[in-house]
Amino acid sequence: MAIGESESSWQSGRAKTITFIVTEACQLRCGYCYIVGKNETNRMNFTVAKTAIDYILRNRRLFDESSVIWDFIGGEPLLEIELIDKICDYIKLQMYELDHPWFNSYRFSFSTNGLLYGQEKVQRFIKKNKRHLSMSISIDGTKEKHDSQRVFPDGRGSYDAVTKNFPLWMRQFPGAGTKATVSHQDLPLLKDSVVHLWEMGLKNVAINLVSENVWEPGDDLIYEAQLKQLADYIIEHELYRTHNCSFFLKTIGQPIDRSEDGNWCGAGKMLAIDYQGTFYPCIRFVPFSMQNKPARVIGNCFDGLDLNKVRPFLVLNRSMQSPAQCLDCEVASGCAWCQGNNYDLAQTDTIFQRAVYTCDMHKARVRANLYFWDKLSGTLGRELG
Amino acid sequence: MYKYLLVILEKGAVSFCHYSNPYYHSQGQPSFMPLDLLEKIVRYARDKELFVNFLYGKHRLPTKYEALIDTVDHVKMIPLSLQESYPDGVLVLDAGERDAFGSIGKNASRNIILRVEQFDLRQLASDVDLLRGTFKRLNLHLVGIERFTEKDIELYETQVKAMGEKLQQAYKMGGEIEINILTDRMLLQQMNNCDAGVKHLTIAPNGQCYICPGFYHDDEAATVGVWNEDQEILIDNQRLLSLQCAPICSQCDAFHCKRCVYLNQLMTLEINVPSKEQCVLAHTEREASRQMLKRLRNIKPFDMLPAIRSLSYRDPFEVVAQPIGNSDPLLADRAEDLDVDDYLTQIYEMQKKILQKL
Repeated sequence: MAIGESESSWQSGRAKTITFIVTEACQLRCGYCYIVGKNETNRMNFTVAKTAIDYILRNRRLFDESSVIWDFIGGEPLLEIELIDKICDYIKLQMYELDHPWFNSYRFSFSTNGLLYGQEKVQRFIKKNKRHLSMSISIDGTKEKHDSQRVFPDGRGSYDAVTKNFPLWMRQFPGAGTKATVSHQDLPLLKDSVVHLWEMGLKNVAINLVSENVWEPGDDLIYEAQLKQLADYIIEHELYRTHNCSFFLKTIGQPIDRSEDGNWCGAGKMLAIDYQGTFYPCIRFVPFSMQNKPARVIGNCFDGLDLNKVRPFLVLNRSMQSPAQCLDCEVASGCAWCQGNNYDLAQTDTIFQRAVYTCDMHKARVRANLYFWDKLSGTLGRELG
Repeated sequence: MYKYLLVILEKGAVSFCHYSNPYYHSQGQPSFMPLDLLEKIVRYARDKELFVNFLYGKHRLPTKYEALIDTVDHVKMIPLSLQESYPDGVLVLDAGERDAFGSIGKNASRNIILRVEQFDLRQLASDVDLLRGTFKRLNLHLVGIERFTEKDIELYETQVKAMGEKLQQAYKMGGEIEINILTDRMLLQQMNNCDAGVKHLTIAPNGQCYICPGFYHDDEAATVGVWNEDQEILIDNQRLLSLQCAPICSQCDAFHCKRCVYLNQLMTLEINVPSKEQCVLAHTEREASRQMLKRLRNIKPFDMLPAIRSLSYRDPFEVVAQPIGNSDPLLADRAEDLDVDDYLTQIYEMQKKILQKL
């Protein structure tokens, strides 16, 4: 995939995503992690999972998408691979028995820290479900960058333990990408990290800034400088036709017409289920993700979805949550937000208030994009004579 | 800037709207709002030329309170037990008190509020009948909407229809009474909602301000600040109380709907998003108004009122939540969903000279 192209999601993003939060435990204590309440005690049991699956598969009217992504997350989901295996078997069996349309159009999706990837039981699960499996391992870039954030409870970095599983993972999922994250402390390592991931063989690098307000004055300038260095590297090494990094997109930095009033975030259109069978609009509204606000519950697997609690998410639009500075912004396109984070930081318990602390960082990215596309266009122009 | 204040005179004050007050029925001595606080509020209201709605409990106020209240423009919201003491007050009735309705004196100019719970729905039309002759205007408020089932809503629809038919007969006989859920929509051309926190603010006996009494009675901690005569209360995210920031309501034409922000918060967890029940109930009333107006078209002054168009939905969420937008700000219907009479009426209403042109 060439630079600037967006990776198309499975079924063009129209599939229903159902996230099972199978555990709230994780072997790592990443510095930027939004999960503030990790613990060893809250684990899903099969009865809860089964009840949730039965509810979802038997309520086609509420879950009428043509495809489904059964997403497993934690904490670290592979800690519960035996439970997940049982859940996936039950899903397949039920979809078949109910002659459910999803039987012909489903995925099991994982975001893992990769530490347990080589385990025999994990490998057995992969072999069993390979045709319907997406598996993403999180690695942040160079060892220095990765180990500055993705650490064990005793402070040791996890780079070596994760990357030892890389060859196997890349053999099994050759087109897979990673999800890398950038925070305040490791901004100066951004360019080297993207290059490092490319050198590891990951040609499509999805990389994001953390959603939380971690930014300090001057970070936007470091960010811009890093992206410009990356731009120079891409052009100098002619990587623009073969490699991709999500920081560079042709579509960002344009004004957005007021009539284009959709919400950026898909919260509420997806469904997250915790160990008790409680439903949430996404994992960012679960108790262990909340720092300031009560969790945002939209039902449970025993009583079903509370459709009144889902309504706000389905009518939430850009104009009613954004301040004037965002609506009038000349470079608004591509400026992202996390609904759960907005809610956690809002003055009142509302999803209708957009946090704007990412403004400077977005503008820095827009400036770097202008630099990159302008320089690339000059280079290609010369190439073409 | 607020236009009026709601002042809760005691913790056990009568509930006059959708919310409930668990302390209303408690026994024992009343704990009135401190007199010095009431003095400050009254002085403030006089200075700012604010109207005040005083909410009374079951107890008569001490004389000093009465004298103070009479120095400011106000209305008294009183329970049935105080009707003798305050004959000029707005009487707040619970449908469950129907056995005592006979004791209410005939009065062709009085305003009455009738609160109706789930289990009173079956008798709604007959309860309103019992009150005939005691009011000029009846404001009907449903209580416990959060517990309403689809069957309750169907029952309400039947009762509203029956009330509409009786009211229609009364109008044909020259009657001039108003019942909010049936007559308000006929007269309105734009939203006329409660506007709690926008046009009015509530002050409780604890000296704290609330968006409306419902928030106070539900949770005293849900305050928007301590009332202070020297400093205007600034409500966090006050914009969300406005119609412009209500994604469903701003696209809706059930103009008479209370658009109750207390119920919004309770049922959807967002102050600017109504529940399905609130929308469907308002559209049930809207449809009854539409039908009634259609049948009264030959009677003055109803012949002057613009027709209410028919809709194919009862919950505007169904239209607003669809990704493909409507160009008509008032939720245009597909033409095939309208009956021909309504369709022609709507064209006529939009362009009155069209007949001449034709």
